[in-house]
Amino acid sequence: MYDQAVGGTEGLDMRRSGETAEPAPSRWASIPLVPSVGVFLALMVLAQAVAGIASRDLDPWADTVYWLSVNGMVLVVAAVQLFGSPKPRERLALVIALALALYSVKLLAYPIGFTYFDELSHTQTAFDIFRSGHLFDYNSLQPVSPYYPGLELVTATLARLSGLSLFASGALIIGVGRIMLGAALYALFVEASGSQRVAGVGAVVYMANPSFLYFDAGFSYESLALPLAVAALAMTVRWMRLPPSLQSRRLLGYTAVVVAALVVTHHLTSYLFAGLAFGLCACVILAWGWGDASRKPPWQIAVFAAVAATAWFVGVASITFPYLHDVLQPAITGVGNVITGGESARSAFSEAPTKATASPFWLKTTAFASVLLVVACLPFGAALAWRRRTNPAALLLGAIAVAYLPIQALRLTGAGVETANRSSEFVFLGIGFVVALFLVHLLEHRSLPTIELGRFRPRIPLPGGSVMRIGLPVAALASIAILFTGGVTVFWPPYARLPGPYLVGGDVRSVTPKGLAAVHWMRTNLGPENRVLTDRTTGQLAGAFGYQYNVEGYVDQYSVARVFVTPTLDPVDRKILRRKRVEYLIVDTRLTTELPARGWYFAANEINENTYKRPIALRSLTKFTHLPGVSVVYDDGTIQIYDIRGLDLS
Amino acid sequence: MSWRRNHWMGALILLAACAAIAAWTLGDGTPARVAAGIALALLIPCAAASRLPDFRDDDVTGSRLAASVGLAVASMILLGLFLTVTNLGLTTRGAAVGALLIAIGLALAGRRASEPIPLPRWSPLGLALTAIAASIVVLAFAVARHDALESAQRGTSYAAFVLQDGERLELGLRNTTEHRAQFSVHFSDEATDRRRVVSVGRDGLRLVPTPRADAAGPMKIRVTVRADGKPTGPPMTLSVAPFS
Repeated sequence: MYDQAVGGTEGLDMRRSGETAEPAPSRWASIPLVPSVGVFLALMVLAQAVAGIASRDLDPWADTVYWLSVNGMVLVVAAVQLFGSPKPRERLALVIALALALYSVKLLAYPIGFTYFDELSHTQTAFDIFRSGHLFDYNSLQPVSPYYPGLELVTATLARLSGLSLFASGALIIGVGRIMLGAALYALFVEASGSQRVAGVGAVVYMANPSFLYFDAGFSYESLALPLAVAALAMTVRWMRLPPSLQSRRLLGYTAVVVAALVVTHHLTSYLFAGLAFGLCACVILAWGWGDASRKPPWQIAVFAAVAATAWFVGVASITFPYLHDVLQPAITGVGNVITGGESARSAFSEAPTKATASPFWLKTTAFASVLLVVACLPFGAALAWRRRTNPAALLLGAIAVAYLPIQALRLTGAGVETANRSSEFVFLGIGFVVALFLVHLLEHRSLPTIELGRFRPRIPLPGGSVMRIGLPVAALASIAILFTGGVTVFWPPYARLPGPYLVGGDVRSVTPKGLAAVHWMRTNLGPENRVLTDRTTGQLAGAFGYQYNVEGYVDQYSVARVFVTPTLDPVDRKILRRKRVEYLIVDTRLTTELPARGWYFAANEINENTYKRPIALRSLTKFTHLPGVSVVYDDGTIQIYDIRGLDLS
Repeated sequence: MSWRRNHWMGALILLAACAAIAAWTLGDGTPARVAAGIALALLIPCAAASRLPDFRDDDVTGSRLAASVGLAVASMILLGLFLTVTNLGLTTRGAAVGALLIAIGLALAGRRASEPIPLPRWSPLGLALTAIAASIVVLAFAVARHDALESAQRGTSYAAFVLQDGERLELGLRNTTEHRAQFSVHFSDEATDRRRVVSVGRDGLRLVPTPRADAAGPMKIRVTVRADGKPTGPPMTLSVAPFS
């Protein structure tokens, strides 16, 4: 049955026995492939460690070592997948090895604790669960986080059982998630293409998505939800192939367990999974029709996912709606405004107020090239996916790939950039598949695939000869390097890739021992859950490690950040402090030394966001010192903690 | 080499039971506890899930691994959810018993292999290369961790703070450097103007009583630091509002 369903000639035999179309084993065959590549990857990992050390010392060559080693990891595995003839298990092992090697890039940059912005929010939830043993403590850093506690639950469980720290436990769980993701991607691409080579290449191309290297490696709920979702999708596709039987019902049950865990792990991923499951049902009908009872759309899984996600949303996590509304609404409205001319389109890399934020020209060019490359490959890859239209999984992945184009429109607005970047981890399921189909076709047939447009089937010939024999493989590898380098550049500014000295408003680079010492002091000496107003990074630290309540948001139309930027404490500032019941202010005077790397000091949408011409004035930041009723209770020379409980706010 | 169901099932259950006892009884930080915890929470459930007939019959490469790891992790999430929403709470004992039950359930649901399961064959060269790769990765993490810790150590230096306990007020002086430091403290308010030098050893903390704690006006405390006879670090200024 499945042989018919796969469609085309690239079928199941290759799934079981490796690629028949691949070259014969070479004289190097006696050298074990996976361990050899493993040694190379390990050397690249060591180079990453060296790059991190050099970057802390501001050595100029750190960036070069970083890019060479990270691309070296990707290219060696891509080369083996594209041109080698490994066994299916070896291909899978290489995919997993690459996933773990790339995970080490983030771990090596910050190997002693969670430091990325989102990680700090989830660290607080994990601490709360670990301390209390129960759920739903309030998290002022990210109020929605305690309602999707899957990652924190399994982390706290591992920490309880092993005695490891939450950092070590969380890092281990994300690593296990990486293994799951690598295996699930490979299985999904094999199901969709029937080709081990396409599966291996597709998994490598998937890892070029902008989120993969850092965002999906962080201690954040999405990092575990994504592997669970892809694993559940692979299990669903597998279930579709089984005839109705006890085995099929059991597999359905196991898939339901994974989906249930997904639902309590991340909101958007669980909704998208439900959407993909329904999409798979539609693809089954499109591919196989209604008639055959043995060919079954996965309605049960789709309905279960939708009902479970809805039940969790309605019964437990209704806070999700305002959270997602605040994230998605500005992005959608912004695109609408750009289309109707109400807002000018954002230019790429425009939020670069400081040297540390600005990418060099070659990286900007690579970022543009990576998008263009995907757009160029998309029609050919989609055409190849369409040839497999009797395979629902191929149809689904092709449809996901096509979504890449409209999602790029979100990049036209400042609010939509993050949504576009974060959606890449889903869209690249399709992009990985179609780009792999295209590259493998190109190398095997040395011609561009024909695009069927009704009766019109344009053929684009490629020049032959030895130039193409050498040029095509080089071009294929170069494409993957461009996709990967561009993907990282699109999402991550230079300062966030490697560790280094303190940077103002630079999220991960603003986390320093001084800030950590201040919030630890606060927790020890002032107790937990004081209401604290401070800058963006110190607020995250105060919440995650100081167990404090981080005050954010607005009073009337005024951002709470106003308190820090006005030259004197005026009646509006007093109103903000009163209405928000602020007890302590934490002031980091290093903010006065530079413009903020991200464009804001305190919170997105603060006054002057992205329009600062000069650093915030020291006089504004420290104006509280001489106010009656204010005590400076902590000072390390740069960070002061003000006790304002005695301040007259009337 | 082949294993039959009863061997694997018994071995998995025995291992899970040993790991649960170890996780429950051993102290934090011991290697055996770490190994037992990781085995009980991740390795044994994954191994047991991979023996489920519905996974092991899968001929698609990667599918069995993805499904078994997915099911094991999902089971741990749901176990955590169960413990935290009930009165049991997420305790070491609850987690150990729950993880043991999951491992036993998955092991019992696994089935006898219809054919011998070939274990991966490793050549001596492959083993040697794998060991080299693992050693290099361990070295990379050791080097990176050492540098990060050193950098963190350099990043902290001195701090001054006030501690208030009722009407009692103390000044805290902290030195997180590797050298002894002299803190020059200047207390001043409407009535008092006192100076004092306090020596704090490396990575040390001293608490100093303030001259008085119930002034009508605010008290200012200015602290400067000298190390190796030279001024170091920016001055630190504290102020204490009068008690109401």
